[in-house]
Amino acid sequence: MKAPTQKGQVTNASETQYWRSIGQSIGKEEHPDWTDREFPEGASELPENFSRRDFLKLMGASAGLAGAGMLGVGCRRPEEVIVPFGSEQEPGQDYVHGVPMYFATAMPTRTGATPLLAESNEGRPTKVSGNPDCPSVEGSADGFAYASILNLYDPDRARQYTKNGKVFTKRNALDELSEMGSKEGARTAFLMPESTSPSRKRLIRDIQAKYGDRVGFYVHEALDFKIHQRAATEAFGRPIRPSWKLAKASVVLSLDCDFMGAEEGSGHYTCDFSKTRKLAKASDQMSRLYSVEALLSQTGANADHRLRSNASQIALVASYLARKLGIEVPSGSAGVDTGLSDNQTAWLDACLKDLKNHSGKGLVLSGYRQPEAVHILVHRINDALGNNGKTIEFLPVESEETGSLQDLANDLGKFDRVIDLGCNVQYDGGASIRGDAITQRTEFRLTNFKHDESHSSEGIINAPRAHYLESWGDAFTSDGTLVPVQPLIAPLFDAMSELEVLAAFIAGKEKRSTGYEVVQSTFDEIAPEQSWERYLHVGFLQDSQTTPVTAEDLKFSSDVPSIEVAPIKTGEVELIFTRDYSVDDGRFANNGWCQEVPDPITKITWDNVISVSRLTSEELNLKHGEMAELRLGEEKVEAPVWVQPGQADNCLGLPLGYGRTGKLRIANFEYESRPLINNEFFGSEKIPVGGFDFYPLRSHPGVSIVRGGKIRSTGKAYPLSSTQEHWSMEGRPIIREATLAEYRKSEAKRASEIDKEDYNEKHFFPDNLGLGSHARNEGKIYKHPYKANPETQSDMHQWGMSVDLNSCMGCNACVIACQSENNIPIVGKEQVANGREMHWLRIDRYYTGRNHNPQEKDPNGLPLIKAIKDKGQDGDDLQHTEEWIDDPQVVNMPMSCVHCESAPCESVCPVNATVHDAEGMNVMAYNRCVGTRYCSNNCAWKVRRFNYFDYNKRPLENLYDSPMTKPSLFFDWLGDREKSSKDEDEWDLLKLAKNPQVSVRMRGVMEKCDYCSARIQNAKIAKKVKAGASGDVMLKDTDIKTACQSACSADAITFGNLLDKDSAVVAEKANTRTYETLDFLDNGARTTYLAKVRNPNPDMPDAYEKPFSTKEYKASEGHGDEHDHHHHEKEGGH
Amino acid sequence: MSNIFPKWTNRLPLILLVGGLVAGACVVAGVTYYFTPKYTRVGYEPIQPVAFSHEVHSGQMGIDCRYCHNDVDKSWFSNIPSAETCMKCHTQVLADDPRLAPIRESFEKNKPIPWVQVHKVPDYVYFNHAVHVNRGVSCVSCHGKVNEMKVVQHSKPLSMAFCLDCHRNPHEGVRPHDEVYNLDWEPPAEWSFDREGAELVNKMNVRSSQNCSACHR
Repeated sequence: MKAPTQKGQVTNASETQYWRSIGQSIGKEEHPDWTDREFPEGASELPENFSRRDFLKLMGASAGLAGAGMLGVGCRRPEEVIVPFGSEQEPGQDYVHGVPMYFATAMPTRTGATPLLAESNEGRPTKVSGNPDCPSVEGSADGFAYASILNLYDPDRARQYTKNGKVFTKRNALDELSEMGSKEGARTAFLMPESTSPSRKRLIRDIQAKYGDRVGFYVHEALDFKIHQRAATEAFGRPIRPSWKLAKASVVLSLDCDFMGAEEGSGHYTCDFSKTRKLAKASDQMSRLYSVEALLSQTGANADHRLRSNASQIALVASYLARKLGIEVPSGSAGVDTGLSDNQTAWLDACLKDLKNHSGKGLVLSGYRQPEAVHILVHRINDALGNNGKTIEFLPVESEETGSLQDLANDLGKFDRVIDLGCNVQYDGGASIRGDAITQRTEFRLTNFKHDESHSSEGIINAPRAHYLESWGDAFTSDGTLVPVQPLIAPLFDAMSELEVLAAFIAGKEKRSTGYEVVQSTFDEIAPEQSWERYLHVGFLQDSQTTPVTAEDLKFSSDVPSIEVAPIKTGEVELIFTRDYSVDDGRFANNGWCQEVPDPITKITWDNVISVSRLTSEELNLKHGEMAELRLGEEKVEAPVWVQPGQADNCLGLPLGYGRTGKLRIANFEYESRPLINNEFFGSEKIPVGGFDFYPLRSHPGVSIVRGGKIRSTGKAYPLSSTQEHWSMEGRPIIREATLAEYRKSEAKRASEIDKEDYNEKHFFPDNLGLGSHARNEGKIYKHPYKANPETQSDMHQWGMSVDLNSCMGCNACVIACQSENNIPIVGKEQVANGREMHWLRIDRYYTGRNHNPQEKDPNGLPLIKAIKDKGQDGDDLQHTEEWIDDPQVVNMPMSCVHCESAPCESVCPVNATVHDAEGMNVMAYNRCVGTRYCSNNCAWKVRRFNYFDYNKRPLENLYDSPMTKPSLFFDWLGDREKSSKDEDEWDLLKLAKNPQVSVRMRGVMEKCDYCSARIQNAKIAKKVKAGASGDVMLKDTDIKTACQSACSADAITFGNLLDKDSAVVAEKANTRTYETLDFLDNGARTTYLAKVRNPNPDMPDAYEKPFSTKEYKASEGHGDEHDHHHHEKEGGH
Repeated sequence: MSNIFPKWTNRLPLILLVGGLVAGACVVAGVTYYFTPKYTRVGYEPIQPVAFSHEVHSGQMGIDCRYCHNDVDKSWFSNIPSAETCMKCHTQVLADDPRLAPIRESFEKNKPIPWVQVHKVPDYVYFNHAVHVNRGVSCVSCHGKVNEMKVVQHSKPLSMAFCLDCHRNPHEGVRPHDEVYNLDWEPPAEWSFDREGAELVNKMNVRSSQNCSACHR
């Protein structure tokens, strides 16, 4: 099954210039053959020890099934009934069955809210997307918002009201709450998650006014995003919070601030930042991003200059910058400047010079993991640079009188009971709080999960906590705009929101207000003149954003904080707890889309890892992919180690939110060993899924950086499912990039040569990097869909897409939006390891190294990687010695079906299941597909996905059990062919999340990106319906957006009609940066890319003239400098 | 030696030939009946829970299709009316008729009536009513003369070939926009598909897609 190696094409791993993991760079990792294979091993063939007898058994069963099927299917279709509504009023006046309805709502977050448009089909919410009308975030939303809809249909959600193990009703629960409130003398503490809801604030105020000292309010979050507000409040002596205006900044320095990923509201920041990276033409201005950080974050991956520094030493960086700006930073006993190397100070000096040159247009940011002192220093730095009030605004906030979790632990003696509004202290409270008296004192709580209902102490009332799409609420967005949280469905399990709890507590049994009444009266209080209906309709209160504090009113009130950081001792490690890109702090842990979306940096699914740098792993004797035991004080955790390129030395990255316990079908399950299936992945042990819990290592919530701790390898291998080994594109300039200076030079040259006779497009960036010059000149191999029959081509619509790699930050929002729109199943950790993930859209992430020569030879003159392979080593041990992984450049590329005009997949399909339509799209007719998988074999982009199992109907941990292998399932199947082998409660809920406009694919069917064909068809239908007897049926840009396009906060994806001269996609494709991937195949891909442009500062010590990838490409191709290459092409190739 | 083949083997070629022919005929007949798109439910006429007559309502009284099926021009789905729609008239007309008892019960108790589905395309076909009726394709093209049916009958095959016949020759399928709901409309004598039909297609910019993606997603 090995693909034949073709002469003249780069297939040997030694010639790779981009590599997708350390393993690949060295030639081999867990799956050495993947790069050579059509499919990963085991993905497409029967396991080896599958005997003839097994085969006969299977065939016998198949024949039996076929017979039974014929009998069961019968000759006539079954009689079905259509059930109309009993009354026209029932569904509501505007309801038209079969037409989706859209409602404006918002997803509340800790420090803001994401305004959303939610789509409702037949009364069930099926999809959310950013509310484009709301000016505060301009339709941007992060991946969590897109995934949040699946939480509504989480099969493990709490479903019952219980007290002492007995089930009772919501009404009983509310009565109990009212009693708790009215009981004389009883003291109650409320423990709540962070929220911006004005209604909650109002109710708390009312409760405090009514009950005084008898109540206390405490807020708990595992991750402390409130630090930004606290630090600003401390610095300026008034309750304010910072608001970054990244769109106005031309030089940005991020001090451990992952504003594109881990910071809350990253969708909007990405949106703002990407505006400064758009290059319609070479002369456009482009911002520059510097990043100083310990872990390789998304922000660091997109930075023009990146400096590695320990997280605790960011404070030193801040104080160094502050001092250089003339701010007197009192030094601690250890002295201020210790710990910064000469390289680092040189880097910071050059960066600071750039910031000074852009006074008022620069921006320095500090991340949530940093202590308050760093934030205060950064405010001072921004002040000295003249940025305050310009690129960073300060918005007044209402001061709050709530305590922290620690306060509650201290005050517990003052209270008789605790009412928990949805915190999970036992999980994320930190070592000092977990198992504390708080949970024993709790008398009422909103529970997230079913398993919480059972293990509860005596006397506690459990109430299912409502999802935001099924309860009333409100919130303020990051700029202070008031948005409603509007339910789209009645609470699925009669669940209860925190507003209802508070309202019941304050009111007696008779005049309890509902969530709706609470929110409406808050609105009336805030905006008595405004229309409530209009507010709900548009999804925000017009012009309600907070007016920033004027620069004159911004006076520092506190002293410059002193900075004291001890240098890191040899052998000491620093633990960095971080928000996970996939599951947040654990709130998305039971969400299949979140678990399966590859981490944007490591590309690992279903697990978290301890990330560590190359040098530190060597020093501490840690092995990539092996388990290690991490001890801190009394606590210890075992987790796999991952050597992460670009990470600072002496630190461990610990993503939170995994390692859940209790019955959670996604976050915590086990794969049984299966002797019949020869699966390397499993061996003979049971494999748990769901990662490792690092919370026990933290003493308190909010702690992000801890020095100390001991780590040692246990030597046990752990199977990780990473998607980065899959479908590698070797040694080809898949992503093309240049520096801004280089790009401008190339464009100037183009302008001077464009009128000349021998002008050749291919001599200029980005094509000069391509293999276009190496084209076979044989014309197209595959049939052109319209050449023979031009009349089959539509003269009205021809669809195309353009992806701007300069804007894409690799955030994954598009991947999840695509999954939600197109009913894409999750396949589980085991199948991801087999290379069977189903994402139609993936984001490829490549590393490139400064001094990396993929052609590097060993002392014997053999290519290095080949030498390692020949020696029989798999390279795993040697990969850590590759020095250039320490400071890599990172590039991201969203990749899905590119819709070739001359499509290789189409000509090999024996049943015409994948064909071209008149509008230039390569479409799949699922009901024709017989599953030969030839199309996927022949696809050069490896974007086709095959349903190896009926992922929708079978439970993840038992995908291999089918009616053919298990008699009980066979009889189930005979009885009801619609029946799923998933648990019934799960099956019922999952069905609700499906988009009715898109087929749910079954086992044995190939699928892939279809440019949201359903959206296109529906847009065309809507246009035709509107057109009636007229002929106005051509779609405009405003009529159609693909799911990924509307999800992209950075506007990196443009989709539209290539025949419409006014469409945005035509303008994008006219950009000189446009190139086609694998253009030497000459397939005429409809999705093209805009080359990435980096903006390095030539004065920096780590400046570069060309992106590292160019150098690697030249080295790999055996070219000299660019001049030579150019010359070369004129000679006519090699 | 002579007894190696018993006597009946002399007839074996004939048996094989006849048997083969019969088996072949069965296969051909079976495939023709079951496997071709013509295998449809033409003539299907289930008994409905209420003996509603389209002939009376639509034919004799001339009630527009959209009085009951009011979403047909807005949605892919042509809705079945709720009992409330019936009761708009039947509180006055035949108010106590025993045949209407299920309707009255449904209206009073808000309990829907389970009408038996007559026309159905497979789940993987995304047929859309709105785009057809708004673009000159009449109800009668797929449903037949419902205004003459006492009991609704499946009158057209609704197979893929049936759809494609019209999608390949839209000029033979379209009619003036205001005659869509007139089930009795006949093309005037001077009407020619190639002239008036084609003109209509041209004017409305009808693009009846024959691509898979038009109906299968």
